[in-house]
Amino acid sequence: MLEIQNLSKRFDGAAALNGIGFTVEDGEIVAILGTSGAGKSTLLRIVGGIEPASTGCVLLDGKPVTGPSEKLGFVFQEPRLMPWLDVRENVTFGLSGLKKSERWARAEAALERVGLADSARSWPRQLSGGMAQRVAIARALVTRPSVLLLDEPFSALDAFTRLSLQEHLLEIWRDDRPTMLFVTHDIDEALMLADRVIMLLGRPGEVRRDQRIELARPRRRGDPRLAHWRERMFDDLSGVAPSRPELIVANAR
Amino acid sequence: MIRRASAAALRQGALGLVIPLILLAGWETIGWFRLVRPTLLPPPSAVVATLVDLARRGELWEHVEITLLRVVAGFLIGTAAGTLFGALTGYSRLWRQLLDPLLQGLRSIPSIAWVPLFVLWLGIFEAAKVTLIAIGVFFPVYLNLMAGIQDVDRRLVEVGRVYRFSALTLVRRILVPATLPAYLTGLRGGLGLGWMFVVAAEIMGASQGLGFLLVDGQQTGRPATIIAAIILFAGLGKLTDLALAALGRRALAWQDSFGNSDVHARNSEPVQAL
Repeated sequence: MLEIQNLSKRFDGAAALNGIGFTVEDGEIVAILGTSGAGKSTLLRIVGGIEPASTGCVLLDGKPVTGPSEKLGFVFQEPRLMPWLDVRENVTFGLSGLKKSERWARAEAALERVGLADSARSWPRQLSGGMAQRVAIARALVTRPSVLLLDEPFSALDAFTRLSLQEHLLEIWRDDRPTMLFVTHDIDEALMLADRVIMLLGRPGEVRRDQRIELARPRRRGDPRLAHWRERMFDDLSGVAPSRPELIVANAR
Repeated sequence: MIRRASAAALRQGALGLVIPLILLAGWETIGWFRLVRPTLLPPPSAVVATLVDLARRGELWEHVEITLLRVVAGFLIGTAAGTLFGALTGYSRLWRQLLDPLLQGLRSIPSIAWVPLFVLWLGIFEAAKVTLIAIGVFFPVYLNLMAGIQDVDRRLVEVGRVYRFSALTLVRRILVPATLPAYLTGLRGGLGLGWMFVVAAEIMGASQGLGFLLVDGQQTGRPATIIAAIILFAGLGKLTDLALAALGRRALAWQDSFGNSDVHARNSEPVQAL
């Protein structure tokens, strides 16, 4: 269980996040959706232990997160592959203390799961953007984290690649159900993937909606229930709906 | 595909030879008809004859050897110092603030200006020459390494932090490989300057070496010897640079650069900011 408690962050005096608190159950997929500047990435980086919080804390299975941990896998917005390492060396980049044969076996397994088993010996420069991002996901998976944190992992990709990677991510989740917390600014991506969508709005960012999406997967993009939520969230994002400072905890069906 | 590429390369190489060959022929003709005094401009055949003569008497190899030794010694010392200081100033802001202004100041001294001082301090023997060469090598290595380390993508370093790398692991697994291209550029630049400075050092005072051959040819009125020495400098400089470049190509096979574009697929999508 991942608990985020009363988290705030200030950069040089400017508030970026204010009083963020929510809990992510084991195996849950939670999307953090919000406008730019609401501190979505900052929140994820604090959860991942990459950045310290100004106040508040993050608890993973009851223990405070004080820095990066092998239980937390992180996927950045860009693949961030080491250009001087081939694909399988990149995948095993974070593995330490294993024999070479064991490392390669783990790399192969991880690449298999993102559908890139054939590219193990390629250089990063030979990969398309979508392939590179899949390698980055494999790199996060290879340490077998219990929580996968993804910072707008598909936002730099074209629409088709994005859709296929979303499905890939769900397949990975179906296999061993890691807890997933991902940041996105794409309402449809949040609705297709997440069990819960947390809206982060304003400057500094605050949680304005905690929406449970109780809809079995695979979901249809054209599902009218999704359309209903999409509209509500779009209103939230564009500020059309009367701004309600109190938290909306919606539990639609 | 490959055959066509190499044929094209061959054709380009051949084209590049056309004008030099015409010039050589013209030069040789000038010598035949004695249009210019051969004591000023000996024909290419005389230069070749001089080279052959030097080689036959065993002098050629002696001169080449001593010059090569000086360049290699100066290159190694200059590279070691440049690497140490470049690594320090690139990695640590404190060291950069402490050292870089001084080194940049020293860089603005034309290196040849050191010669009298070195001769005074170190004598006219090898130490002075090697020091001068080392100074020439030092600056390109130092500057490129420092800039290279500072230019390492912060986002890659962050990946290392996510995996809880120690400072040493971070250096070994991210900073060193990421800095390698800039470092190799520095090494090649340093080597080039090393060759320049060995000429200066040997002209200033030497009893052996290719630079000595230059001076000797001038003082004894044998321009063929001067030109022979010049050709040897050019050839050796090019050879050592090719060796470094080959080393670099092996180490940098991963690079996605214009000169390395034999790739079938490319990541051309720009990373968008939200």
